[in-house]
Amino acid sequence: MEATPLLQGTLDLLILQSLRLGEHHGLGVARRIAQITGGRFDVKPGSLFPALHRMQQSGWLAARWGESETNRRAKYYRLTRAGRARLEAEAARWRGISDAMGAALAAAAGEKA
Amino acid sequence: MPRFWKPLASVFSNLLRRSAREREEREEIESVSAILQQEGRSPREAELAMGGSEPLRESLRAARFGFWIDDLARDLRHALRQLRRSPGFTAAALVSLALGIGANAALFSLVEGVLLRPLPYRDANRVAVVYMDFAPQNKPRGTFSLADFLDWRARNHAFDAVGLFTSRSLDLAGIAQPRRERGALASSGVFAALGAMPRLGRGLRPGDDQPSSPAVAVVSAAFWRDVLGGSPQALGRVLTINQQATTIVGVMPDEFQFPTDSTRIWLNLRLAPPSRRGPFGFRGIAHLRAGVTWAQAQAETNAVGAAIEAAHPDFYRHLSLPIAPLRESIVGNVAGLLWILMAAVLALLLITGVNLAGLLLARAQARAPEMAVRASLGAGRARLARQLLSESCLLAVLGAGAGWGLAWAALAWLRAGNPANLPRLSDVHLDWGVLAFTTATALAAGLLSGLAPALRITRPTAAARATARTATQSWLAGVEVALALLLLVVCGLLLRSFLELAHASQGTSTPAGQVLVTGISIRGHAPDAKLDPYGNNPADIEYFNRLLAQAAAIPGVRSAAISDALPPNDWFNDDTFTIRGQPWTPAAFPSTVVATISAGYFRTLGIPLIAGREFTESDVASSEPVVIISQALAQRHFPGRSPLGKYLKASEPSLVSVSAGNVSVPYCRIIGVVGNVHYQRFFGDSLQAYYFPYKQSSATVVSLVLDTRLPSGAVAPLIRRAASALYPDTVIGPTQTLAAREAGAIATPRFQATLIGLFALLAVVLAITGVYGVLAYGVACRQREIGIRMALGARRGAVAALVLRQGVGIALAGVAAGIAAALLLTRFLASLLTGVPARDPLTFAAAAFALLLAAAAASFIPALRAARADPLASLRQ
Repeated sequence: MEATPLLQGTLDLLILQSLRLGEHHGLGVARRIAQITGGRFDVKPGSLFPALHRMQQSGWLAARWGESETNRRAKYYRLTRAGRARLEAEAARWRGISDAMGAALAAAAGEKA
Repeated sequence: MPRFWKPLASVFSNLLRRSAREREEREEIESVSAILQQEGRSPREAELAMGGSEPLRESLRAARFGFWIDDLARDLRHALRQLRRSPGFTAAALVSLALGIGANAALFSLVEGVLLRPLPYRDANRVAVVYMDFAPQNKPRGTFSLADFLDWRARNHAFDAVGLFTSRSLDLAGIAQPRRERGALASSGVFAALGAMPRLGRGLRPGDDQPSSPAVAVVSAAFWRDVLGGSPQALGRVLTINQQATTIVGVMPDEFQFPTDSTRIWLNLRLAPPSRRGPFGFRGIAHLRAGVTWAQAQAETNAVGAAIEAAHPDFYRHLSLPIAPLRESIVGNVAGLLWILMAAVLALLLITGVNLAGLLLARAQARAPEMAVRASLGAGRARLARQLLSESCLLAVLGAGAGWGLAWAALAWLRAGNPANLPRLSDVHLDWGVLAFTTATALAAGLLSGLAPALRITRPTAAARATARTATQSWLAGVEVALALLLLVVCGLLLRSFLELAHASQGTSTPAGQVLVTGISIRGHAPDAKLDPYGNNPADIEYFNRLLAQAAAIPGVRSAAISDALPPNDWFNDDTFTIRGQPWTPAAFPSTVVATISAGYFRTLGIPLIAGREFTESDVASSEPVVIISQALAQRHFPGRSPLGKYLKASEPSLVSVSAGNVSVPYCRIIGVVGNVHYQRFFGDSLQAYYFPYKQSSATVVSLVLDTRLPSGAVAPLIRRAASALYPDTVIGPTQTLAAREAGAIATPRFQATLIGLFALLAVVLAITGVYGVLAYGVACRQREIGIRMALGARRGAVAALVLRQGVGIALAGVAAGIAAALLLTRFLASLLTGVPARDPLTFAAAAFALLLAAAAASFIPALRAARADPLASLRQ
């Protein structure tokens, strides 16, 4: 499937979601996002890393230096409690939007039929 | 909770631990690159996958919370470094900004405080001051007599309150330290017209205007605090003011400053029915009735004037009663000065701005290579532009700060000395609105002048348009030259006028530096004493005889005298007179200076006796009344004949007798003619004067005059001691040399000339740097063209002439425009000039010549530089 540019405001949610089950380093986050979206979103380092840094400074992510699978030094990110709360809030908000959009599109499809 | 403080904490930790952040960011990027390479990418492919490690690092930096603070600090540090690196440019820009802003802030504050601030009176905009103008005095701001006031009041309908007032020096006794105060005689209408409410007690009211009313005084809050102890018991206290027992009935608030801010006592003016037209010296004040316009009021007072003239055709010609708004009468003579200074300083600000823009443009051109290098090394255009802007804004802010300091110091200096005798000055302060405005202007100037070069640099092709830009700058420099010429002409005119005043002879030959003057009260003894026929208390005369003898006996004092008139610009009384055997007409006997003097006056000041004799000690109340006249008066009334033995009489009643009661005014024999003295230098001096001996005349306010080489500090205590020993309640003023008094009298013209001179000098310097800047910039821009010309065989002289011609061309155009503007504008100066025509050709020529010469000199440096250019070097560029 072709990679689509990210929607405004979705990057934070994707990052939070990708870190829900454990910590990753930056590249890991990008790959996890590609994986959980079925390869639909390809996050470039130029937007991923600044977003990670912003979220860390906001207190949603915490970071530590660790060893990668290949014994490389890498910076690992994980969710904080605030980040988890943020994820819940963002996810609920997004579901709301998604449901509304879905309903709207379904109605439009029904009228056409 | 963390929602708020965590980001804030991040901002602080980012700022405090900047290098740690940078290291961490770099390490993270390196580790990403390492992981990518480990997965089999080449270093180049890894770079590509990351979108470039340098841009990535930049984006991480931009993601740092509070990064802009850091950026700003970095920009400012950089800007500061850049400015320090070119101290010449920085100093020039800062000084011109500080002067432009400082002068503007100070003068705006002054104009606001003196001219624009509302007067502290109810409905002040509908209060008129009323004057009297008639032939042959022809003073549009002339004064009237009691009789004229009563006629006007009887016919007045346009005003609902009318009053009469005149300023007076008042000698006070009955208090701890006898003193002299500025005061005013005022009718109750003055308080009604101004709607002035007392702070304590009452103001003057109609019951105080009657001829039989007791003497009462209303005092200022300052006088009440300083002299009366600030207690409510001060009301009802009786002071001796000008020898009259006077009851204090009220205290006015501090805002009440009428007619001047130094007036501290208002005495009731008793409107006794006059027996003649005169004495003059009074002005009217009135409040417009609701619904009456200024034009209607003026029409009515003119009609009243015509009626007075018709009733007294032997006395008045062309009589009118001009009215003017109160504000104009208070600030009238300084309004012109302030507006001219304001215009000058605005011109200066304009020049400053133009000059600064020119400087920044030229600098940007010089730095173009540096910027190009930095741009090619990857610095963003926005980043470069921001840096230039931060540089010019830093300049603007520093300049504004220096300007504020300058304005503050200038106002403090003005308030301390009041060198220009400005009214309402005590309340003038640096205005916050003005500060905000000037700072905004400075910032705008900084942004605009920074923007132009910034835009230019970020647009590389723009260099091709350099010639067009020099054309704009040439125009600007031309405008600068024109403004500078205008200021130079104004300065020249004021300077010539000032010198005319400063060096004009007073008509006295004793050096002004060795004439000591002490203000002193002549009359002060018990008011119930039996007065002599001239209205003098014999005890006063005796006191004065003794004081004169003691002063003359001080070792080192050559002679001593008293007088109530001193040149320049200080006389107590002027009045008309009659000569026996000559028909009296107002044209033939205009109001003339009357001086009351002692025998030694002419000797002490060095006024030559031309015919007859001086007064002697034997000219006393019981001897024959005598008078001495000035040469100008003698020539006017006795052309080709000797006036000696003829008779002159002062008008009845004399000014003094308005308060002193009945005194006789006899015909006096003319016994002498003396040289002319300039008593009225600033008021269209007629040089006519007549003198009475003090034992045969009456005066309240006199000065003791000594001819001595002793310093005033040595003499003043001796006089004070002698006078107090003779009479404890005597009032002794400060002792000054006549030279110091003369300097004080020309303080305003000196202030004008100095300030405008300073502005003109600045304007010239700025204009010249402007011309220089354009040429230097042009030469820098045309380096290649000049190189090609020289390579093609142009001689160095021709190249230099090219540049020189451009500079002189700009200057010529500017000078021509400036002369045209000056010809149009200097007529507004005419009222401030003495002895110099407003279109004085000498001043115009000198200003034009000086400016052209300076411009040519300034053009010489770039011309030389162009001629010295190495054609090969400039072609290789």
